[in-house]
Amino acid sequence: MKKISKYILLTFSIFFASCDSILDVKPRQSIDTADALSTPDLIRASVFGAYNNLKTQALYGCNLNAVADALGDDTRIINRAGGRYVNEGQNVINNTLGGWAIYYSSINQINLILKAVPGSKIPDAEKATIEGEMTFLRALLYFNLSRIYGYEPKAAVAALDKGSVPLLLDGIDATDQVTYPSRSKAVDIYAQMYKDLNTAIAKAPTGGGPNRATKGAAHALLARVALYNEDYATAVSSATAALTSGVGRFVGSGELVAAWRGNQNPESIFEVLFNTRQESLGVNNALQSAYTTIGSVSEAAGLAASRTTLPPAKGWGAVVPTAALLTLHNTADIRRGLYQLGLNRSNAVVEECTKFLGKSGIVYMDNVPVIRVSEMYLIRAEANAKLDKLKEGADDLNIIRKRAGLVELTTLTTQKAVLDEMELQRRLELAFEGHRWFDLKRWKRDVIKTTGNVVYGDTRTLSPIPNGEILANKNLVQNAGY
Amino acid sequence: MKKVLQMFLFFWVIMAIPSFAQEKAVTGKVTADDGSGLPGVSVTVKGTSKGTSTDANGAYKISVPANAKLSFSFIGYETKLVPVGNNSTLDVQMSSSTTELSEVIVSSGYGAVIPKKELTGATSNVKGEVIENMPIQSFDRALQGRMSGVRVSSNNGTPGGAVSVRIRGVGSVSAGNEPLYIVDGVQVNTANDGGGRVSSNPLSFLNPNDIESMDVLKDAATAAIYGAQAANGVVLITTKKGKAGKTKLSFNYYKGITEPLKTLKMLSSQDYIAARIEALATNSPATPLSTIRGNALASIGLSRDLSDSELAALPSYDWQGAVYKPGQVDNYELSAQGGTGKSTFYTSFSYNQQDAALINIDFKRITGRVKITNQITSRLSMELGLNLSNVKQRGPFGGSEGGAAFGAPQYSAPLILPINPIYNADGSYYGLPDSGVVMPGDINQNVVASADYTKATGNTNQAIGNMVLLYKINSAMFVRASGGLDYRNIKSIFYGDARLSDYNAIRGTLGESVTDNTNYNLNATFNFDKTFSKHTVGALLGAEYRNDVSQGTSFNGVGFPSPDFNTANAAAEPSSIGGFWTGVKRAGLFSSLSYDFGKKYIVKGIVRYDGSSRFGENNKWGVFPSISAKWIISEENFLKNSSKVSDLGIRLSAGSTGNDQVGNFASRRLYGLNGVYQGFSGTGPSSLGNPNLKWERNITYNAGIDYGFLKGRVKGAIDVFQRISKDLLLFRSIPTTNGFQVNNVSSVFENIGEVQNKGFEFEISTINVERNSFRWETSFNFTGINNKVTKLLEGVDVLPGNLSVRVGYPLNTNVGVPYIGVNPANGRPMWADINGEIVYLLRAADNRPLGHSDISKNFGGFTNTFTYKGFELSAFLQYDLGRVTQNLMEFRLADNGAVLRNSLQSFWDDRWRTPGQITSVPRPAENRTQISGRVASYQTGTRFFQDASYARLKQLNASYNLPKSWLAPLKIDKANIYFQAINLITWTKWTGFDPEFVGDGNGNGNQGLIPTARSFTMGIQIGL
Repeated sequence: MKKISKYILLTFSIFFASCDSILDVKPRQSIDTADALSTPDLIRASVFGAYNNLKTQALYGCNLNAVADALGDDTRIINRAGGRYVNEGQNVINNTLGGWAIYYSSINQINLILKAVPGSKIPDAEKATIEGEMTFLRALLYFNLSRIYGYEPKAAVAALDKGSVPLLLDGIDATDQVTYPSRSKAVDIYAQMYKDLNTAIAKAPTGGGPNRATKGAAHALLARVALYNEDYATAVSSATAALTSGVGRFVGSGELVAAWRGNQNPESIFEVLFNTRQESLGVNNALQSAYTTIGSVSEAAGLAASRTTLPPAKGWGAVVPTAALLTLHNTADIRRGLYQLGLNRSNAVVEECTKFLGKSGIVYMDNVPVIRVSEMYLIRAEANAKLDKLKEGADDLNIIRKRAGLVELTTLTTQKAVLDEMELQRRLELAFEGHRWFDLKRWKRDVIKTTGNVVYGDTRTLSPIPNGEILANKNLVQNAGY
Repeated sequence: MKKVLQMFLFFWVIMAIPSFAQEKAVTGKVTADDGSGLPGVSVTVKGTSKGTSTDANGAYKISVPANAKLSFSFIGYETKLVPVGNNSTLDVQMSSSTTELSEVIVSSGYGAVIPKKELTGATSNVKGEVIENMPIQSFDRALQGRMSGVRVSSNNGTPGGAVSVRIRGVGSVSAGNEPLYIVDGVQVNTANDGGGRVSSNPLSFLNPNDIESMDVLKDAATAAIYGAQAANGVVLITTKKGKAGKTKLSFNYYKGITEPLKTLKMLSSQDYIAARIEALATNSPATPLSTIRGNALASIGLSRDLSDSELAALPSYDWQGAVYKPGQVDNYELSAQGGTGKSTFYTSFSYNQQDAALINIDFKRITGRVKITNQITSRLSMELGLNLSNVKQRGPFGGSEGGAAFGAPQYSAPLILPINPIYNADGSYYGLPDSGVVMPGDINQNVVASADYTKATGNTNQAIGNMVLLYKINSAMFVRASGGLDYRNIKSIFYGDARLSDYNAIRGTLGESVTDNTNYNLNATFNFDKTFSKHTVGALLGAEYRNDVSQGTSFNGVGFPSPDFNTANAAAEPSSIGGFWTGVKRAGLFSSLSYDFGKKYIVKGIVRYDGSSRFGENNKWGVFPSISAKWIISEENFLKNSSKVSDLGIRLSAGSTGNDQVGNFASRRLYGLNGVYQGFSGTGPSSLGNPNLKWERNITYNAGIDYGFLKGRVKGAIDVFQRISKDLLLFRSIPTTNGFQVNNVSSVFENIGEVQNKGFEFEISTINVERNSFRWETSFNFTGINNKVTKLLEGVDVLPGNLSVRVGYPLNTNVGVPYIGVNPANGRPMWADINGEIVYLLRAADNRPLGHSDISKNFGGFTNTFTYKGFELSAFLQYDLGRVTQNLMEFRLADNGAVLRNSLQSFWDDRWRTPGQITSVPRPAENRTQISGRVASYQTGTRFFQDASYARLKQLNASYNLPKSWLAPLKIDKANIYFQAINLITWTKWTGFDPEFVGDGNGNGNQGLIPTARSFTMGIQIGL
């Protein structure tokens, strides 16, 4: 009996001799954070991950174009997609741009990379490249984040200004590093963007664009940031630097429409790449689907030639140009060729923007240009006009006009005339690229729409910070009106 | 850990001391009333687990200690207790029980069976025969309404679909709430994984007719033996076992139909157009009505100039009628059982097929099962079980449980504009993309075609096997070793046909995935049981290990030459590939000790020391103790011979159990994969982890009374309990500015919350009439549960990111801005803000509890059974009360012409029309709002909360045993014909398809869930 008991005890003891090791399970599709950036390959993988974040629907995958344009005044919404974009088009409260959490997880990922790179075994030259690219991406993220949730430093509605977004620069990867930040001042966010972009200008590579960050892209983004900051001198100098950086080619009139027919837009200074079919966001979330019912470049060409038999609609085609925008095009304007009658969905056939047509060759998937060369001319024109350098401003506008097939104007002799023409060319040139809503905001202008205006000072101009975020962080103040 | 081990050692050294008395052999024969030998009678030495059963002739042989008493029990006979004395032969005649049903024996884990009377914990039990031949695909559905404290609800109406089982309320917010299921000792994997294309039920591998009994361990008194997996209760399934004797064959066949419970009354084409005109007119009061009429007609593809008579002549097509169709039920079974004195076997084969009451959704299962017992030597015995099953399911277009996809027939059929025909004149489907015809309306897909063309299937091959070895060391001790394997291979396929608009642009798509799950558990126990005069001591020491690994691969391809080709190699190019791997390991050491004095006073203690790989490095192991006691008053001298009181006992228990149902890697700090850029796979931080993560701990207190009066004609149990779920795993919200998010809330899993369930359970069964072969039995059970969140994060009354979890309120409390009807002046929907003021726009700050929750307060069942000679009629009513939830399907059906979807007739009839009118249905307005941006949509918020209480005539069963005199010439032993109706009548205020649905858990509520069916089956069972 005693013997038996001994055996039993022995068995159980062996069984549990190494209690914790019998419970070892190593995940295989993830890696322990402690090792996650421990080799050059792992850091490089995280860099690709950081770029990949730009492709999400809330960012350049769709919303920074489609939702921003639905909010603005150059589009109307065709409700043939079960209400998609209808509320955004009517500026219904809470139906606006968002993505707060995705921005911050992307920023954190970049912060972690920037923390890991200096001590890593990556060759020094590549270290600089990664730092340059990551600081560019961080600036791009803060730029969008701050314009969605806050005012520009010099365009705030004082009574409604609760500050810009929290500024986080240290990577967080353990619970004891968690912070509860408050909103930073817009000037501080802008100062950090300047700093990051100057780092990017110094360290990012010259080549490798437009799908990766380059020195040229950093100049270009700095031009835009400076313009939003009403720092016109910097805007001018940066735009010039971007134009001479060699990234992006200003195409001729004959290529203007064709530039929007290949996956890579030759004008792009920075462009988010969608490469393989699995990167498509699908019919419900893709940018193409938001803008058009047409399925491909060839289908668009076929429809332009003959509409006797209509193929089935491919996308939702919910966000379409207003009649006013279309009539703003002079009959000679080549850019009018970027709009055409779409297909029948829900018994509506209307003119749609064809800048995103599944140009990758894969339906519901397009590269998304973030900054194009023509924007640099428009930035420089606006900044020069503000600096009262009307001639320089007019020259840049005429470059855009001429390229669009329009006559050069000699009447641009007053600041108002230059700025008016600049605004017109911005609307026509950058339509459906997510600019108008933010332009009106920084210009302190009203958004006039048949579905109801959003006047300057309306709280709907800023997006609500997610409510969970307000509950989780007592230091964070919600925007007015939410 | 060391301390605990020392404790165990000490305990076992003490246990090893007792000496052992001499044993002797007793033989005998057990006979029935008529003197014939009775095989399969259980013969046990009273107070021990030692026992045997009689052979084919009723003979038995057993070795017993001195002064032992032998207990003879057999279903349908009164249990006999006979002292052995000096006899070496002991013949016993059993008398068939009249009123008192035979003593209920229940499983209490790790092979132990105990007479229910001696059980110190709260359990509920259902015998297999009660649920026999119910046309259900998994046994969890059979538990519905049968047991107090056990709430069962189907997630949807898919045959063999997912079911939620909640034992004694809902105790967890973020971790799982499903009980631990153990089938013949195998802890089965309850991951609800059908490959994502079908709603699968992990328990559908077992043919419910193979079940002998189901025991549910509800309190810690018994469940604590399962430690960290037991917090949500434990369901023990024992399958049928052969009985020694002549081999008996049984054939069973039933067939029937399923039909929809209801369809919705939608608007006709004419009413829809009227609604559309009214909605457009609201938003454009200045436009002439004739223009609006033209606009409305044009918006749905009709001529602007349609005359009134042409409009009146428009047909209304019945899409619901085309998709909700009656289906078939078929079930075949063949089983054989028998054995010799040393071996028994039970084997069965079954085929079950059931259609949903929705086209092209079905379930097919084949099972094969064998269970063998063998007495290898006088000391060593074994039991072997093997269950093989193949389940094939066809699922819906859209999500696995249905869902709100436009192409999903169950969602879209009521919504499609009724002017759309279903078929062309030539019988082909109307409105397919290649036809050039565009169906007017938001839902411009022919959903009958999408159901027909889509191939969404799940195919699960599963093998569950177990082997038990039992070695008797001596009369008081034995060692039991058990190993179980639950292996599953799930293949799921989705083929999106290019003829459907969703897949037209990509020329068809195919997605396939294969998941492989290997789950095994091993345990060994050492058992001790000994009686010294009036003292009986029982003890058990055991160890267990469980390993559960899942892995899978998947791919999607697009571009098929034609719908005739639908294998992977026909795809023009792959669109994605996927894969995963996950695993968990658990280990535990456990012990129980019981003491009983004269079968009157019983005390039992359990302690389990459990570890799981899921938890943080600082908290991998935990201790789960329980203590319980019972005083069997009816054994006291003053009641022992009472003719009125046959059973009376009081039970008390307290103990602790754990819940480890969290993600396998929830405690880890991880970087995961993060997309692809420029052709390179990216990574990114995915989880902040928490090294302190540990189980949720449930503390349960239970007090119960078991009662039986009038020789058991009235019997049952009453229990009150308190279940405190502590250390609840909650996502402690941290600002997303830290870079991590889960469900849009950035969070860290921490053990911070507390929820209480207080409840009352009542079970009674009575024999109301028993006279001249007529018998009327009733059983009833009732459960009342009060659920309350008692603690969240410190200083926080509402769980960030989930407003329905708040201190002082039940879980799933409904929160929102209360809808207060329509402004009689202008027909606009109104809400009350936090100050009670009328508002037309909703702000998050106005959200507040609405005074009801999505948790049932009371539930139970009521069964009446009448038998007369060979006839039996039983009616089972099940009820569930006090749950309020959003009818989100109705939310989709309330547009009244606001968008191009059809609406319910009732909303149209009740809409606001004239100033001064009091109604709850707002004035129709385009896009659901009269002034865009200034007035919230009339479908916003809380308008669609409804009371989901219901009572249902769940099962009506009529059967007839053919007289033996007819059967004898045919050499048939037994023949029974039966009829069953399921879900016959439902009483409820809920206006949707079925109040039972709990929603799909994705915030879509009941939108597009596959509706429940009513079924009628007839069958025959023949025994040879």
